[in-house]
Amino acid sequence: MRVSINGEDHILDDKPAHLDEMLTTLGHELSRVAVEKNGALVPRATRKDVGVDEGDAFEVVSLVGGG
Amino acid sequence: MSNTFKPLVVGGHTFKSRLIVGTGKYKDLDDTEACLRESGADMVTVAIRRVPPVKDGERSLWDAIPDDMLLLPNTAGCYTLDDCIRTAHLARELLGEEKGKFIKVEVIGCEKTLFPDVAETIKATERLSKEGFVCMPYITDDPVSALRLLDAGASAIMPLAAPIGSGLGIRNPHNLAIVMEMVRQHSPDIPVIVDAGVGTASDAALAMEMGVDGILMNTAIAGADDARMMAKAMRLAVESGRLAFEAGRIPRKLYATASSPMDGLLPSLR
Repeated sequence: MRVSINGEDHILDDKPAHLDEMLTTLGHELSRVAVEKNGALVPRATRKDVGVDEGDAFEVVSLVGGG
Repeated sequence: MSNTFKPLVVGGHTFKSRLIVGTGKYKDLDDTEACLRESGADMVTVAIRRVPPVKDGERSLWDAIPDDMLLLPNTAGCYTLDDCIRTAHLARELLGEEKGKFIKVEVIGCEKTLFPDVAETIKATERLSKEGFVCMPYITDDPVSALRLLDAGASAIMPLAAPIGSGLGIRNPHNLAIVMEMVRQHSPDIPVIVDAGVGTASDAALAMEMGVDGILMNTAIAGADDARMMAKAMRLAVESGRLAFEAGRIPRKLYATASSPMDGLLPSLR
């Protein structure tokens, strides 16, 4: 299935059970990212209840150096 | 640790240092960590960005920031109110309610100067303050904007000394003095923190001698030939500048006043 992550198309081999599973499969550290799904912020506590569907667009952000 | 009478307090949190440092533009993460420690700061700014997955064993900024440091996420790079609010929400989600309560409100209005869009910064501060954020807005050194930001709920006022990353130093000490005076009259507990523009230790010392409550800097340290040494220089400058302010400098006079007594002076051989 195809989703968009940070503006780029990604092909996922299997449909993840939930958002956290997708993040883990991609290699993200769950405690160090915040996520938007289709433009809406996903609270961390609900990520295991949020599904991943064909065509979904995700933003995955974290801390980087800045002033 | 600074030996001053009254520590810096922002949003109910008491700071040990009056220096806040950025985490951008260092050579590498080891340099980042060393400079953060050397600066003595207890708050560091960070940016919120899209990130790729971490590679196995790779260090990230999270690992370079000492655990006891408070994080001040910024909304740098945001040119609209909506982008600013969105970034603040992501920051709070990332750090959690308590740790993610501080936000450096930044709405940029001009790419070349990186001057803030003051009108939008005021709106963002109002919205985010109502949502419980401790807002530390970056603004120009304009006293009227500072008052509007206080009314909007700002927990600190952070005027620029010169354009971000310019290293030009305190370009308008008189405006800065007026900002301080007006902020203190309006809200005595809200600190004025110089944000952006300092280039070297004397700039930091000058601002502190004038009585600002703190300084936020990034490029002046990260861009120095020896960033670690400059981090130390800035720590000392902020401390000594504050001590000089507290100590109360002598008035400036045009003519000399002798330091040695006239009494007991030997008669001249002339």
